[in-house]
Amino acid sequence: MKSAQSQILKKYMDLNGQPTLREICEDTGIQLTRIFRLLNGSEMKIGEYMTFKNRINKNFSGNSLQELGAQCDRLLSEEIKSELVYLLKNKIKMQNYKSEARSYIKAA
Amino acid sequence: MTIVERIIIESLATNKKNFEEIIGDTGLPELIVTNALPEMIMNELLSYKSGQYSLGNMDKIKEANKYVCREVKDIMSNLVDNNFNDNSENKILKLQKVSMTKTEEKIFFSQLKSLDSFVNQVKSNRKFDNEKTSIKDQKIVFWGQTDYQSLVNQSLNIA
Repeated sequence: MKSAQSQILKKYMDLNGQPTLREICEDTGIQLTRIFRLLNGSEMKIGEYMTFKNRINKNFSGNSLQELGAQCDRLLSEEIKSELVYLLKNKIKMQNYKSEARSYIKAA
Repeated sequence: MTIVERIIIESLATNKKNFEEIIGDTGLPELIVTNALPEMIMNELLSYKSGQYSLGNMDKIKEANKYVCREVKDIMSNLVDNNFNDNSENKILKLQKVSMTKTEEKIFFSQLKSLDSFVNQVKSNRKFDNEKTSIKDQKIVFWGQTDYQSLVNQSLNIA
């Protein structure tokens, strides 16, 4: 349980950008002092474990571009992020090339 | 570099062209070329003089070529979309998972080698043609194979 507990806490902290104790308290509804103890190695109750698990699942279910962007920024390697930025920039560039509004210069 | 920029650069790599010639050679719509050319000039990928467009600063082109692996991914992605969205007979995209014996694998690699030689031969034949074909009429051909496991490992390694 200890290992699963530290894994789920790490995942929760990473996903939420290392939140403060108060932020975790507001997000999970678990008491501040209890969160402090959990982060310092106290064993989780099954209900607390499920609360963290549900919060993580909820975080992953966000599918707006903005939410996904924030998750990518937190979770993915610099290499993958750079590739995604390249891909998105190219998609935007291609869209701009198709745009009538941009054809203000008649070449040649 | 986008595929639009790539085809324009490849078109101008053979010789300078004016606006209409670029459209004729690449098959790109006029609007796209109208929008792309000024941006490419600003990025020094092209230069413009007396109605003629030519390749720009080679260092800038080389710099834009740095992400060739990403460009290939983009091409493959477009190719898959193209294949699924159009049922015309000329489009072929086969992806098969198959277990091969050592002998079958040898035969398969020999076939790939033959295909490679054929394509190289065709490319060298075109060098001696008097009439140049448009860049838009070139075929995009691809082939290759990999082990299922190494593909999965690659996917996991980079995440």
